[in-house]
Amino acid sequence: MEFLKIENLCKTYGKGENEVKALDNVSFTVPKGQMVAVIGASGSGKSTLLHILGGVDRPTSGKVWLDGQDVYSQNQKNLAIFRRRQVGLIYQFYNLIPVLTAEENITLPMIMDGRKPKKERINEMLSLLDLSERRNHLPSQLSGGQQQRVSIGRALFTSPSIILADEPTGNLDSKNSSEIISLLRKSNRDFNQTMIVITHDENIALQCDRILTLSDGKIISDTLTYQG
Amino acid sequence: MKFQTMLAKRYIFAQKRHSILTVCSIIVALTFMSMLFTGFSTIYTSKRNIEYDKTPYHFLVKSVTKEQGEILASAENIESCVLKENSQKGTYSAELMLKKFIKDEHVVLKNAFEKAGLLTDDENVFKESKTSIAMAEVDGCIFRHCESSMLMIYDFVGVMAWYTVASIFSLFFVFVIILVLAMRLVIDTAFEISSKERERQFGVLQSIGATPSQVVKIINTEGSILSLIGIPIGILCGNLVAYIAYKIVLSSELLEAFFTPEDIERLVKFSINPVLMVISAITGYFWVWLSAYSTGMRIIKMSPMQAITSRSNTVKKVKKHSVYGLFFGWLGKLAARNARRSKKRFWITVVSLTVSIILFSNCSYAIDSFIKTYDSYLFEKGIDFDFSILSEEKVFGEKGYRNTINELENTGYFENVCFDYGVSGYHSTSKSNESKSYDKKNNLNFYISYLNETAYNKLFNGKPPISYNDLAESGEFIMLEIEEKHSNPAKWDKIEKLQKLDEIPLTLNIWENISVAEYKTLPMESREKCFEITADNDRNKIIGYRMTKKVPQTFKVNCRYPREDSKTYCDDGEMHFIELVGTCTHLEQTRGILKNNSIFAIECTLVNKDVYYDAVNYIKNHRYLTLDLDVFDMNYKNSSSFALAKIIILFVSIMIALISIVNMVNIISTGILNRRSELAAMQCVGMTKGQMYGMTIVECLQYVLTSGIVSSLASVGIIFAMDKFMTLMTLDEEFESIISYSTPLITVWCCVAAAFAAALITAFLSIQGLQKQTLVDQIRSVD
Repeated sequence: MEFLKIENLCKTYGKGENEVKALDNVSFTVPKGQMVAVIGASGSGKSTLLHILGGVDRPTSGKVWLDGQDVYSQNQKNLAIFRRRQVGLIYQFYNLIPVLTAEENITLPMIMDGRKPKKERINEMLSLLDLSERRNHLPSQLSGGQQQRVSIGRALFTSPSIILADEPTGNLDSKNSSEIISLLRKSNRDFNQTMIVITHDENIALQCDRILTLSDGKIISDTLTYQG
Repeated sequence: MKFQTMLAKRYIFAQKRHSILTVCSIIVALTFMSMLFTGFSTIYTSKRNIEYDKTPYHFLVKSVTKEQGEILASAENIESCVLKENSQKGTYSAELMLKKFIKDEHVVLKNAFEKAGLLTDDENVFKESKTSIAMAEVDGCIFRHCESSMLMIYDFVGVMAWYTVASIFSLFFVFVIILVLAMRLVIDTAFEISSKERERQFGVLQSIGATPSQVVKIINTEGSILSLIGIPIGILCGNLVAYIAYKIVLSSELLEAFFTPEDIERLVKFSINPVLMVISAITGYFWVWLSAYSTGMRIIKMSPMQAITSRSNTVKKVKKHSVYGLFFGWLGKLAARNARRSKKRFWITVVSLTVSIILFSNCSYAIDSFIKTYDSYLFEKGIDFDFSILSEEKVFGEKGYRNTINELENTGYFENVCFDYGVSGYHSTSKSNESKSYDKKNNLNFYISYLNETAYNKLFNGKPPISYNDLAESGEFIMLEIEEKHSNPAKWDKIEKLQKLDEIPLTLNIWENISVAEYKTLPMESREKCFEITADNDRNKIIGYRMTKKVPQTFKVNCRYPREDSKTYCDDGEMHFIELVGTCTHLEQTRGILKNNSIFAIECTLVNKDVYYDAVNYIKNHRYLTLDLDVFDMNYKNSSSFALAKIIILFVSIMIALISIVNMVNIISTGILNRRSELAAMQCVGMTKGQMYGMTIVECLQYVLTSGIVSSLASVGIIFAMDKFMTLMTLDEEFESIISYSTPLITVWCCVAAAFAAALITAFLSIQGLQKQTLVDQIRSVD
């Protein structure tokens, strides 16, 4: 059963001579609960694809369906609510809110949704992320690995149906990287969450169910790993 | 081209918004400074012109020959000498102008006099002649020169001029320096914001080999280039604003209270002083250089690594609970934390907003309060008329007071002509002491007023206890009672008893004229109490004397009326008047007693302000009338001065408001744009546009609300101080306080609302600007 469906997705930047095709007629589907790694050289269109899947950037043409819903048929407000409830975004450089503590950063999407986060859920998440001792720390008081864990916590907290991670370990050492990937894999299995992970690391890609390779905005290979 | 200049230029173009804001800050600062300088120069030049118009010389030397005048003109340090012939005497007057910046003018004058043979042998004579203009004006006197000390002050001539000008200039410069320091904050903020964003880049530059001094030079070059644009525009704008203010003052006809329209056109000139403009340009450039230099110094204090790894939006500490969080939930909490990320910027904005709000609301309120106090003071003193005219016509003479009143009314210039004729007297409570010398202990002072119908109705606010005609017919008087208990119980007892009497025996103090021969027969003791009467054509010729005569008379009381100002009379030692009010008919009936009292007062108002000059001329042209008190002119001049002060304060307030708004706009827009990736990240995790605008509104609200609260507290403090000051000045407990705490507070909150609107527009425009980029671009802008 396809959960995510992408059809003829195109994204171009610039005009005339400066026109660059970041995505060129990309189509694929992802079933519910699959963890997909997207690999490719720099400038191949990985991040663009991820942002379009997350409802952050609009495609030039093509469609994205998530759980049967046409993502870009929604207005701005509904798109924001969609991101808040359905999507969990993880960035290489974390993009945490510097004025909020670790706990506040994690609970932010739920608070924005007008819901009050339950204490047990917060404690559970902090414990899962191994951040219980750091809950009241500001981002500037955390290490890179801890900041990324906060960022993952923020993405997972509302239990979204899809997690999109843009090089989540790109800024971390190997120990922190494997911790983060384990965390994502655990969440993927425990909650049957669909995950799209952009990475340059072959080991990480091999831990996913499927690997999509992008080159010049096109999918040049789509293979299942032994996990899948 | 050096790489510093090249990089500075690139940064200017790359960071257009910052460059524009920095140039705007420089423009506003320079506009303000040059406006003040040109305003000062215009006032200075106009006052100098007015003085020169009155006395077109520093020294006037009278009774000189033509040759002597020519020698004076050629003397050292004499700028010019105009000779004016006195055809009657056949001599000349020499109008001397000395060269500017001369400290000892008398040395110049002495040398010139010596050369022209005008100096007497006696050295002391010359020394004395320095002192008095009046003496010098006496014809034939040996001191043959007089001086225009005011013109000398304006032209920097003489020691006094140096002292006076130095004190005026130092006061002016203290004022300017305080404002310039405030303006530096704006330039400083602009530089700090733009460089803060580039800390990482400066770190990279240092890491690849740029020396710290090269980094400082880049920022200073940037400042210099921006100054080249901002300073000339600022000076131009300042002079333009000053010119607009000058035109507004001229078209408002406010100056006509002091000068004729012709004099205004001829003497009040808009003046730009090039020296002051150069000073403002140098000061402006110095502040920019200092701001750029201090910013550069701050950056190079960091190691290149620190600069590279530093993030302008790094937060080390936050206040977990805030008032805004309580009211606006998580949006308020976020907004409160954001606003305090840079405490310095937050407080600079709040302080500059507060200063402009206080200045605007309290200065205009203070002037309004002074006007109200002044009006209340006039009202308290019963000055609700335009002219007080004294008539020297004998009350029962050929013309008579009735004819005088009729004549004044028939001119068409005056209305509400009130005739008030008063005679003082006393009631002695000691029988044995009656009609002898005045006895402070036993006498109670009286005042008998004889009023015409207009004055009578005015006294009782149109509701007299008995009609004017009925009182006139009865031949009785109304007693204005003192109701407040006198502080001296014995005195109060006497007053109380006396006020109950229906018939009051009084001793009137009547003036009596006696001839010079009669005067000479009087004992020396009585002579000392007499006043001279001089001839109309020769004030030195004594034609008689005036002495007081005590005349006992009984007055019947028709009814009693409480006097409004009775408290004034209850604790005032010896000056407690009890007043009886009668009519003009009473005055005519008393003519036998009052025949020699020749001066009476008439109070009247003008029909309209256009007849003022005609009315004054009418009074001047009638020998028996003297304009004793010109309240109209006094009020007109005062209100014009207040209006002028208000215009000046309004312009200064607008400029300060502009400075604070530029500062606020700079800080708010930069605050938003610096956080673009953060705001985008929040949107990526689900923040709606509405929520983002909501958070921004609360952020803006914090600036203006804090300023509003601080301004309100400061305003209340200032008004409280003003209230105390006014109570001290009036020294009158009954003086009704006209101080209102609400009026300036309304202005404060109107200013707060305006500032809030400006802040919102800025914030919304900044967000709109961000919306042009996709969320991805916004996030990548930092990554």
